[in-house]
Amino acid sequence: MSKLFSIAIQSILKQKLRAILTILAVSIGIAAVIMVFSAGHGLRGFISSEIETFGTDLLQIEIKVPNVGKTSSENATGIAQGVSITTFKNEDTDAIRKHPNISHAYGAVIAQKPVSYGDELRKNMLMGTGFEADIVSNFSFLYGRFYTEDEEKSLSQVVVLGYKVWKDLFIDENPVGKKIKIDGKKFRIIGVMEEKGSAFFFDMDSILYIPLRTIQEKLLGTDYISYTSAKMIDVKKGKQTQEDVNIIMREQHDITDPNKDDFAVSTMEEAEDMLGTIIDSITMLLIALVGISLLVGGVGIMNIMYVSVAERTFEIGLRKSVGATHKSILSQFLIEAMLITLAGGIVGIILGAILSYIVALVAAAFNFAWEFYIPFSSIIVSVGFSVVVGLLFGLYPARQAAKLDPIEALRK
Amino acid sequence: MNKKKNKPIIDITDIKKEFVNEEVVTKVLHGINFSIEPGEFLAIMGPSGSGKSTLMHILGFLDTPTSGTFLFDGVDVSKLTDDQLAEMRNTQIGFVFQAFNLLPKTSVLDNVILPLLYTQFSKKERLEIAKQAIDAVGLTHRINNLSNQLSGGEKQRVAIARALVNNPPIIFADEPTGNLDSKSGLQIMQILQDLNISQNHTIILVTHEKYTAEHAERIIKLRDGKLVSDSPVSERVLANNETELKK
Repeated sequence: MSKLFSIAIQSILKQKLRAILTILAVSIGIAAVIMVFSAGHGLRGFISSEIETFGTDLLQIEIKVPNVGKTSSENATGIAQGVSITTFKNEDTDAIRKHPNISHAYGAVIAQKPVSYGDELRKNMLMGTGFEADIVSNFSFLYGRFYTEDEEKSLSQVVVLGYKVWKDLFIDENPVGKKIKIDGKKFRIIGVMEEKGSAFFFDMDSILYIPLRTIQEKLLGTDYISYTSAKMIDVKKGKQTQEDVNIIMREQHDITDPNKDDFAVSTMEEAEDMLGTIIDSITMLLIALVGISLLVGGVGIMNIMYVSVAERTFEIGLRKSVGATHKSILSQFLIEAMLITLAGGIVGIILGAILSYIVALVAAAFNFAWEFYIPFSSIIVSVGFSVVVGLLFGLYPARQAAKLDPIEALRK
Repeated sequence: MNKKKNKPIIDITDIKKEFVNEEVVTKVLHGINFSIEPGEFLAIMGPSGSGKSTLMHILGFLDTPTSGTFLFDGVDVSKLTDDQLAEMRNTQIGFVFQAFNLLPKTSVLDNVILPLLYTQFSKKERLEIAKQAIDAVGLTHRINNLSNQLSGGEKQRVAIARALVNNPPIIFADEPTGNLDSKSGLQIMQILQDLNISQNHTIILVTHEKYTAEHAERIIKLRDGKLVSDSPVSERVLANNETELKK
């Protein structure tokens, strides 16, 4: 066997350029496979870390257009089309909070209003939240504190600034106690949040936080909320709690038919699973596409081996006349094909790793939590595939070679 | 010569060969009978088209007859499998061709080692045997030269070394001097005679030149696929004497 290997290696070395071109074709395909696997992993890690910024022990209750699916995109379409759901009230949050597995909960609405300090005027995102938002969403503060239950109940005009809002208006100064105007009304600054970065491309640092009741009654003139976030005590009971909250909400809204739900309850775990599934299917699709390039590489191998057999009929005939068996000629050509694809596989893995590393570097430069990682499975898959391709596409030319009639071959 | 009493190494009876090409049947051999004993130096003569090459291919296990029996050392060759035939080609015979048939762009050593690649010898043994064979044809100084850097005579000596490495009992030489000048041709005949006389190899020489054929002990003549004569050489030419004469 080792003899056949050295014969095969010698034959490859005698046609270096052609071998190099084929190795290149195979390695590009393999590199693409490695990159797709690695990027899929990186994307998954990125999504997970984004979800973790919200906390995995959260239960999210959102408004929903009845009779549509549960997904946020369908929901968003409905709302964008002008359907406005006004049935989700503060009392619902209070009811959810009473559940034994819920420790804290807050309702929230989002609004956009002009914000001014001195001569500076800008439009900012305002978030009206219940007083427990700092606990549920793990807020931490650079200065001051979050608002209290009393402040919410008394409709206090207090505000907590997001990191960027503070940076823009106050640079490095402690603003606690100063007043800014929101929609023309004076608000006292009681805290500044630490920098949070972005989550799902949504800048968490450009937001101003105001007590929920204050924003409802003094700025918006409404009594409904868009969503409630609740913190669970025992994450393992997530599924049961989710079911219970569904029942609580239906009771609150007098709904008997689950299809008429005007709300949706989701866990962060669910969201992560769903996104994971999407990434997996995209990865599979990309692998299928990349598989085509490997197939092209395979045809390339078949071509080089076929030409090689045609060019080497004399050599094959001679080998047979000095005692080479059918099997040894077949093996020699198969080993040649496999060595070329294997070399392509190794070069491709190195190439794919380098490119994936560059992708990770670029992602890191854009502040994405992107981990550079080459899944072992991708190496197995690509090397396995390349060897199979080498075998399959090398088999036909190798058989042609083995079948050659030595007398005919020697006449050439 | 007591060796004539041995049982034949090659014994063919009524060998016929037909080629069928698009339903046109061409009869090349019309029933050939003869036997060769171990240690013989036999020349097969005949004009082109006489079937001598086809006969040699059959005797060299490269082709099979349409009918007739071919016993090699008492074994019916038609009963052998492909792998057994390959082994016979490997161990029982060595070929020397008119066109040398060396691998191009390949060193003398690698050319000579070729038949050994299909044996059980270890790498070290293969190298050792190949070096001895190259030494035997006087080409040790050319061992690492590529085949295309050699003269015609040198190429044929490499081919002989290659035919010898597995120490086969029989060496087939198909017009071995056909592409050579007379001096190189003489050298080749000298080597072949030496292999026959001092090392007892059976030599089967195919040629159309009477003078070359007379280096053998016995000449078989073919014409139109039939054996027309089979007779010993009365005055055998000895390559040794000739070289001395020419000096």
